[in-house]
Amino acid sequence: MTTTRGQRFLSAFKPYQLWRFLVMNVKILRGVDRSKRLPAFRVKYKVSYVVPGGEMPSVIANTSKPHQAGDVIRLLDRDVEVIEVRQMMRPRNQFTFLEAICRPVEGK
Amino acid sequence: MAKVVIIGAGFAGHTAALYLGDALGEDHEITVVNKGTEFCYLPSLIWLGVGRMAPEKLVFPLAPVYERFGVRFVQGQVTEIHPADDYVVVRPVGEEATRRLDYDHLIVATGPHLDYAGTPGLGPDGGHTESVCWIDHATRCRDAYLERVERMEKGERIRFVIGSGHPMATCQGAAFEYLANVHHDLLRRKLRDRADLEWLSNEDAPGDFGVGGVQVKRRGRVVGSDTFMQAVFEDFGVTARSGCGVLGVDEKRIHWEDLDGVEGDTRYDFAMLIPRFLGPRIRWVGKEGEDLASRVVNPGGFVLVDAFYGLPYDRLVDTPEAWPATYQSPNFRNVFAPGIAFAPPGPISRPHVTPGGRQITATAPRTGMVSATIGRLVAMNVIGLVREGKMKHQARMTEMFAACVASVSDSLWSGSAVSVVVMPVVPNHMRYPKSGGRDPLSTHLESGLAGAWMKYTIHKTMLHKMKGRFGWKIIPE
Repeated sequence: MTTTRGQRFLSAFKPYQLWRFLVMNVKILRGVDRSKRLPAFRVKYKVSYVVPGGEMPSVIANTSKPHQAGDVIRLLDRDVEVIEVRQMMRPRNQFTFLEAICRPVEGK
Repeated sequence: MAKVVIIGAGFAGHTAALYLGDALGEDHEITVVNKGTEFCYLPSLIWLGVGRMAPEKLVFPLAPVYERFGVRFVQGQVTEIHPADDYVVVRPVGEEATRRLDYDHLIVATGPHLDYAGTPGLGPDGGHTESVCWIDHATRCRDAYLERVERMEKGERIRFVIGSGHPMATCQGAAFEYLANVHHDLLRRKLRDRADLEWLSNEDAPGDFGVGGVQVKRRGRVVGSDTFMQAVFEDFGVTARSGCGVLGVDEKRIHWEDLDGVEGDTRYDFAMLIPRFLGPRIRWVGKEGEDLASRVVNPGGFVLVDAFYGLPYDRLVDTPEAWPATYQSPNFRNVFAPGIAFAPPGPISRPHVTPGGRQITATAPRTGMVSATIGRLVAMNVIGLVREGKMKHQARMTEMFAACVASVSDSLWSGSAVSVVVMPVVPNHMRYPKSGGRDPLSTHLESGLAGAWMKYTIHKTMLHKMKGRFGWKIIPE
């Protein structure tokens, strides 16, 4: 592909370029506007709680906050400590799928 | 009272500081830590590099702006981040002792570490090549360029090589702008016939620019940025060599390897090559003094955020949600990394490996408009966290709009520029499966005088915005 004489003429022809300048401004402002109208957003975490050892059944629950190792949470009337959090599969839209490995908190 | 610390005052950090200062500056403590005292408008450094713009037109002092916005400013370098204890260690300029800065929210907006050492012989400090990545380097580049111009005026023939200086370099757009401005400046000086211009880049094809190229429909047929750039190079009389990873530079030659694994070299009299970008050189320290780098940053030093890492390229292109939405560290949720500091989940352009196993890929650019947009987004989310305890905004690069105007010549009467408008920055093949992952109505590519006007308008309006002057909020990033 080479630049034709017509294209070369238009790329320096000022009335046409003024039109292109306006078109580009509209395109940019329209694109920025679309980008700026960021949607309200809240990640939903679907968490599979696993307590190894068979003392407690596994639980699947939704939460709005992701857990971190060290968090103590209430699960089936017992307090458990999260010891590891893994991402089970890639996020889907606003859903993130996690697996939280937990252990019962001693004395509770 | 919440404490927010922002490291860096480039596009992302400074934009975040303006929005945070505006919303929280009176009641909360916002602190910016930056090595220099001035904001530098990087996209116009290419004009400085050919002597068409004075350095003082590209910078302004940060302190008076921050004073108006109620933002504290510390000139210094952050040496350590303690994310488990919520503080950073700063070495203020001119002081031996370090200082501790506590935070509730930390924004790491350092920009890149320019890794000249990654390519032997590269860079202006101890190497043989020039660079337009920072104002001091661009000033040196201008001096070196004008020295070559003097030699050409005496009748010497000079070979200019411009492009990328590492197999994994990014920001080819800036290198192209510099090449185009050199071409036009030499035409203006009536010296073009004494110069050989060569483009040397790690993109797999000219016009890739690290975003996988752009395809637009023009008069019923699809035109790719590769075809477009080839026509531009032909027009300029430039020899283009793409798919070359620079391995080293000596006093006379640039040594490279191409995608087929063939090694070669290019003679030069003047070379401007963009280095590889790495993440900030800051230590991440745990509670017991242990190194936390493996939990917080990737091997390149970029901060790991809410992206989905580790996907092979073919799956990554079909997973728009793998790109980060909030730029928040998953392990330390009060740490954010907008702009170049965050680790992308992979390249935007298709990666290439030579038969010998060397990776040659144009890495994902996230400079300029993208940086500032993410900086604003992070600031809005931090404001939300401080006021209501929750974040309300997200922007993935697979949904984000960006405009890039590559100056070809700075004159407002006879100049020109290549204007590239992309929606989204990272092709989203799920949303736009029939148009190469981009919105055909918004994506745009053209060259002409209007682009030169656009570049100048953006230069003026962005400096106005960054100074926080009247109406700064309504000017888009």
